[in-house]
Amino acid sequence: MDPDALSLEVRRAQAGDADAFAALYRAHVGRVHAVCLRLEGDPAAAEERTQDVFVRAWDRLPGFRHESAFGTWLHRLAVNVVLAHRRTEWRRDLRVTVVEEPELLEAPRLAADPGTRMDLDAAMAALPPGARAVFVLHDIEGYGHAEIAEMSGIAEGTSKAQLFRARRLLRKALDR
Amino acid sequence: MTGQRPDDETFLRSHISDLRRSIEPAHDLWPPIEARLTPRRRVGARRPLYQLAAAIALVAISSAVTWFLVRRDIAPVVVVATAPVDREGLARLARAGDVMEEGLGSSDLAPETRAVLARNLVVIDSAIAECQRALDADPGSPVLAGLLRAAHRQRVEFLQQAARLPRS
Repeated sequence: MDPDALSLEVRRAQAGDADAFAALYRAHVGRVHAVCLRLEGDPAAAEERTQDVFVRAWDRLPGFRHESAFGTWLHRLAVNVVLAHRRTEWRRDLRVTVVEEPELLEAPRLAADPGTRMDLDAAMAALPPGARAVFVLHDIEGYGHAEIAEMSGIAEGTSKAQLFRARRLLRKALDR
Repeated sequence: MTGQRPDDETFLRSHISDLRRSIEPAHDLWPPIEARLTPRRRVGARRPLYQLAAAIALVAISSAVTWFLVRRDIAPVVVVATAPVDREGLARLARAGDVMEEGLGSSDLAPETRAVLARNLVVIDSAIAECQRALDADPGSPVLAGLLRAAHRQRVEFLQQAARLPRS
């Protein structure tokens, strides 16, 4: 969808036009679903969160002021929806102590199938949830540790430790 | 002789650049999403609030005319402001509007009234965004700051009127 058409659809959707909102859904669902899938690590949960994101977007669209691109606004909303949903569980998973060998903290779910080469998406899905969240937000989505800490309700040091841990585990899986 | 092993971050970088930015879900999620959309904001029965709509149109048109004159370097007939840009005041007005809009969102207005309000707020928000973009491009302009302030005030006044509308 070209920017002018997109802007028109956004304005129509803001005024309550569900058909325009359907067009926005078609244009953006792949990107939203990708971030939900990587954060959740589970296709069924990712589809549920994707639905939640678009329902929330519909409710909040009247407040969208076109100060950023609609896609950027929607992406940020998607991250917030997933984080809000997972916060309690992530807090539990992220309560770790920083140690020299982070892989000793928790037995990872990586590679039940020795000898099978994994791609990054599969390896990420197998990470412990806390480590996966920080890796996706930092290395893929480009958030800083301070933002991740604020959004997830964890300490910045914990975010750094989880990133170190995630990278180490992913490399181990992909190096096979 | 063996090369130095890259660190984990470097090693993963090429894998990350290969990731797809978009992944379509396995199922069409639109039908369940559509079923969950709150009908209060859909375009529904037409019972426009003529007076409110006219007021909004007037503001939008006068802002557009003034902006056109400003852009053409012709002195506008209506001088909006000559004082320095009061960013704190603008922020306060914006916050006041946000609070009022939030309050309105939880009130029990009729669905068709909500639809009319939403449509008119879109017009005002567009005017605010347009003024804001112009002010960002020319941050010291008291004229643009005045236009932005007028648009924010219009939003607050519109929401005040809306708050006085009869509930369903």
